[in-house]
Amino acid sequence: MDLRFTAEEEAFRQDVRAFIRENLDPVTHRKMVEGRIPDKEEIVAWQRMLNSRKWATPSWPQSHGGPGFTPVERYIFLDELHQAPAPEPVSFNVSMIGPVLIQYGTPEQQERFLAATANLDIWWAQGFSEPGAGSDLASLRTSARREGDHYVVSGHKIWQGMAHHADWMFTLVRTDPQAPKKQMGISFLLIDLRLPGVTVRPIITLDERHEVNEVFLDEVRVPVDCLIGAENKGWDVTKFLLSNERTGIARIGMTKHLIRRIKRLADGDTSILAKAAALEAELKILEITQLRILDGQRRSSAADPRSSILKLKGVELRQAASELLLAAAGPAALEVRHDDAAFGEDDAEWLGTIMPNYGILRAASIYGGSSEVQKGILAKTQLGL
Amino acid sequence: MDLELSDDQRMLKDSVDRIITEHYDLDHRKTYMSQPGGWSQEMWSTFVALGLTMLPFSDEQGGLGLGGVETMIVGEAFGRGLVVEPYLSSIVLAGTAISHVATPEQAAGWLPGIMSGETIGALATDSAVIAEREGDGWTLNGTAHVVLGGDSATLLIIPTSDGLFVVPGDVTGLERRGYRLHGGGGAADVKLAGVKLTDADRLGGNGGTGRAIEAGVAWLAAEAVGAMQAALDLTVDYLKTREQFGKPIAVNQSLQHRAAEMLVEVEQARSAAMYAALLADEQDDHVRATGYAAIKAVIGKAGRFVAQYSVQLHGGIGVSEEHMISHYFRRLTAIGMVLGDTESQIARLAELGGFTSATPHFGTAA
Repeated sequence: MDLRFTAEEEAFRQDVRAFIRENLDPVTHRKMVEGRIPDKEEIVAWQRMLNSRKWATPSWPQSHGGPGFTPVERYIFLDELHQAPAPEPVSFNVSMIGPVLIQYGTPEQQERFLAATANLDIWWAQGFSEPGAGSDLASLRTSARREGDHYVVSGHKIWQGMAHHADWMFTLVRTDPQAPKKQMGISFLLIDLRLPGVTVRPIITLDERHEVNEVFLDEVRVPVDCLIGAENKGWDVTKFLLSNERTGIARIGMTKHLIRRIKRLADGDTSILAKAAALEAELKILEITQLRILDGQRRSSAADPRSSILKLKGVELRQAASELLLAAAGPAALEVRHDDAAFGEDDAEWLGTIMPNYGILRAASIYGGSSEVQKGILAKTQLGL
Repeated sequence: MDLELSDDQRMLKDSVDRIITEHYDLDHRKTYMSQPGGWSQEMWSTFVALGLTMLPFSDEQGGLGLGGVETMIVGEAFGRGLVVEPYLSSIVLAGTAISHVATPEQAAGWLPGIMSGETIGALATDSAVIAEREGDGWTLNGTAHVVLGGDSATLLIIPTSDGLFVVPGDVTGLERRGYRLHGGGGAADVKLAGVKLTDADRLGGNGGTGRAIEAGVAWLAAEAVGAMQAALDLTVDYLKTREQFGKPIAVNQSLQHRAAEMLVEVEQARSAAMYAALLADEQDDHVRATGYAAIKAVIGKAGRFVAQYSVQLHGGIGVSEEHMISHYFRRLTAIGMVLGDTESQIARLAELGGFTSATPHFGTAA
């Protein structure tokens, strides 16, 4: 048994770190350090910079423009981004629709979308949830009926992260309302958000930010060549998408960044520092759990249900760190300061994001499979309950 | 990186697991605990015959020269069986202290007896003992509390103001009050009044105590994993078989989720035990100190969570002395408390600065 990374893996980490340091725009970096959300242009510029080394698509195979990372390299790469901190490549593009296109797309669809998806020439939104379909995704009601060479789509999607930046949306629609099981009548469609009948409306979240949206689809005519996989087989595509790419799901590097901020703001307060140490102890051990699961991935490419442990514990620690950061900042963190406020003095900690980020981080145990869903998965797959 | 057991390690695991399965159910354990000293000489001889008592000592010292992973394998099996024989106190704590700081001559004097199981060692991890030079000898005065295994030890390793001393259990001036511990095993409070020793009994620096405690933490982590996994397995079985309101109680989502939370903690403990096993070879004192503090802190917290909810999910039967779950509960509670509880380990980790510095990962490119 050996927990250490190889010399090559350590060298790779240094390479990634140097690349970020040399190429990440200082304004973008400062926003990330302070917990602000970068602008669309900044995210696009950074993803294109990563893409110049094929690093925008860490999980894609080399045959489709990926870097051919091992699972360990993927982890190291994401960990360096999280710790820097630097923006991750847009997950809707590279972790969700990209692998789906590679697995299920026709050669024409791959030709049309893959390179543009990697380079963020197309920004994708995820159109899964609906007002009545959250964790029970298959109960979705958005309908699509075939008319000649088009599907005519009507419905209401919700929680589209960054859809106000997006050009296209991958979405689930019901094509066979008579199917014997609700999972069997669903198709996976790509929708150009510029089509007539599409309306994107902001939802302002408790951090007073515009990050998520709802999308209304009113008799939108979508060409049939935008269907992924077979009609009524969209649930298979969805299961593939949801099980795919869970490397770095524990977001350990992001929590480390929060702990750094806590230690700066604690200003020697031993009670805060002891709480930080308690988080660090669990985080250190979670890193080992992460490595154990990575080690398993080197042996088998099958989805590992133990990833749910990483999601559960990772979110628990990240939320606890954001809460402790709030405590370290004290009531001064309550002053409302939006992300577009001017930068302060160079060495001053920016308090303006601490309360908003504490609030919006509650969503981390809701999206991507809520903590309750993760516990259900563990109980079923690991304990036979 | 490679986190699989080797073939040899798997064989060791199979043979230790078999011994525990065959010879260490609750009835056996009760019989062993009713013997003089509270443990079984026969089981101890079985462990000796298997080579387990020689396992961590180097080839030069006459041991098997095996490492942290092998010790972890044994610890996990012992944790599942709730083994009461003095492996932790004699082999892990006293043995590590001697093997780290003894001269080759001293090691040759004491370790063979420890490895053969005839000598039972104990290490006083909480002591206040003054060693004074008198002529070419030493006089020890002071006390030590809750010396694990100290009730049946024939050889006591005592940290003093002037280094570690090896003190025969029957030496004049040494008084012991031995007692049983909740959670299994025994301990003693020790008083030394004018105990006369020679240079040959002095191991030198107190550094051996630190290394021994680290080895002890690694052992406890492994033991905790064995106990936690067994407690979880029993609990899950119980949820599937216990019926209330005409259905197995496992149909209740609140219980499923609690079991899943227990699983998360068991897996965290398993990671901690693996980290502890591999950290033994680390040369950097700071890395070892921060690592073992984190390991013991997590083991204590996770163990307590699993112990408490194993009892809760068993309902009334869980608090019965006769039920295995209550034994796991007591052992896991004890493991959390000895060699530094979670709170003191966290304080220590904070004092050491933790793992993440306050400074940014790197500054912005100027």
